[in-house]
Amino acid sequence: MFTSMRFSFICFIRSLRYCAQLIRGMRVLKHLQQPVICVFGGAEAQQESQHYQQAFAFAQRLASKGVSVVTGGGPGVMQAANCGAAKGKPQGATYTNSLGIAVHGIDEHIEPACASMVYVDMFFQRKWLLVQQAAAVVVFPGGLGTADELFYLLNLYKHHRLPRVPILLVDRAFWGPLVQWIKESAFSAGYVQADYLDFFDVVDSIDEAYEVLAKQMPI
Amino acid sequence: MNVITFCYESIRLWMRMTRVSVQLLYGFWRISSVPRPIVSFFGGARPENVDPYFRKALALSSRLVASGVSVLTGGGSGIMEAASCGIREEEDKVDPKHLGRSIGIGVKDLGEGSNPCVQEYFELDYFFARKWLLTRYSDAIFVFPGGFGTLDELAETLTLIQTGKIPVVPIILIGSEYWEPFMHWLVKEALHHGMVNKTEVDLFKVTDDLDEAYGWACAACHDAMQAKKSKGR
Repeated sequence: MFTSMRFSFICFIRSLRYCAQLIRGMRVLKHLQQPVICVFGGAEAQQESQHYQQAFAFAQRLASKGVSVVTGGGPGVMQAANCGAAKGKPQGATYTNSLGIAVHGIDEHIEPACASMVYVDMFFQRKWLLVQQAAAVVVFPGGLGTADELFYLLNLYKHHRLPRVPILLVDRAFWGPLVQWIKESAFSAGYVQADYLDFFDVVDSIDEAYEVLAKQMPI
Repeated sequence: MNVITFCYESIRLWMRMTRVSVQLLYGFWRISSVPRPIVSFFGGARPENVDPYFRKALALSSRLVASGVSVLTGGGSGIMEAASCGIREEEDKVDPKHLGRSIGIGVKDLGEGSNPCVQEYFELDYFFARKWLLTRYSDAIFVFPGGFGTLDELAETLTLIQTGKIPVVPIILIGSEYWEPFMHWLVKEALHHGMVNKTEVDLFKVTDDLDEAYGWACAACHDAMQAKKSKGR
């Protein structure tokens, strides 16, 4: 009896804590320069790698047009995007355009100069915050965490739980086999319907990604 | 004006969070009332009664239930229904005291509703709450072919295990024909580019053989029971 009461009490206190973190995150997100583009990608990408360079250049280009970049606040592609956005910010601009939303104890090693940071406790909070203000989502190659975020978004779109925004998968060589699998196995077996395949676009280079984005939003 | 909007938004968010945590507490209570160990089934909502994966899920879950393992699903149709219905075939043969039970956790406003076989069913407001409950309490996880929802659950479980948020449980993908290209992508692209490492790929196994799958799951359940007993002492 007392154990369960204690348990409930702890859950209650925790819900307050999570809620406070979400509110803080939302406030920071609202104060960012709009529109916001969300970048997902692997934490393992090294600084010399092609994906790191691509993410850096892409974020820099977006930032120079007055777009903010939000990432998961970790190393790899996320850091590249944040640093690119910080570098590409127009001279004399006073707004914030680079934000990292990190999970405590997971993605903490990032250059602090590149982005303002928000910390949360749980993965679901991060996923929720990342997609709240996003006007577009750009997914660079990544591992399980990236796949998790991508499928989370696709699942919410499928059930109309979230307004749709364009999703771009960068690097056709990397995402190609996965998309092909979705088309050949999942679609032909009826697990995925035809209109779900329009939720995302696969692009090969950041120029192509920029063009696709420019068609769908004013940048 | 700004302050008022901020307070209004904060209060609304807090009320939603409270609602979710009350639902989660209710879920804990419902799940803790069924016999452990618990095995989760993820899979698509589409397969019909004649689908080979449906038959497999049915056979597997009835074997598990007969050996006293409870089955946790999303409570919908398709594979989830097959997994819940496994209990129907065993009800007459085995003393109900030794049987596992079938639990379903639904999500509101999907228009899915519960399937006829599920014994304990409740609905939550959000997908993440359902995933949280599904992953937190399972001693083994079977993943049957499915669409984005299944992939979402699979990827989330793997991420949580990889980052140490939940303990390591065996994840068994059934249907090598379906999952092989996915594994191929994971090994060829993600592993090759260093996006995932070998231990993460080893977290899950692909098989078509139900005996093998049953063996892995049961070993995990057995370990879980032993650990719980020794902790209790």
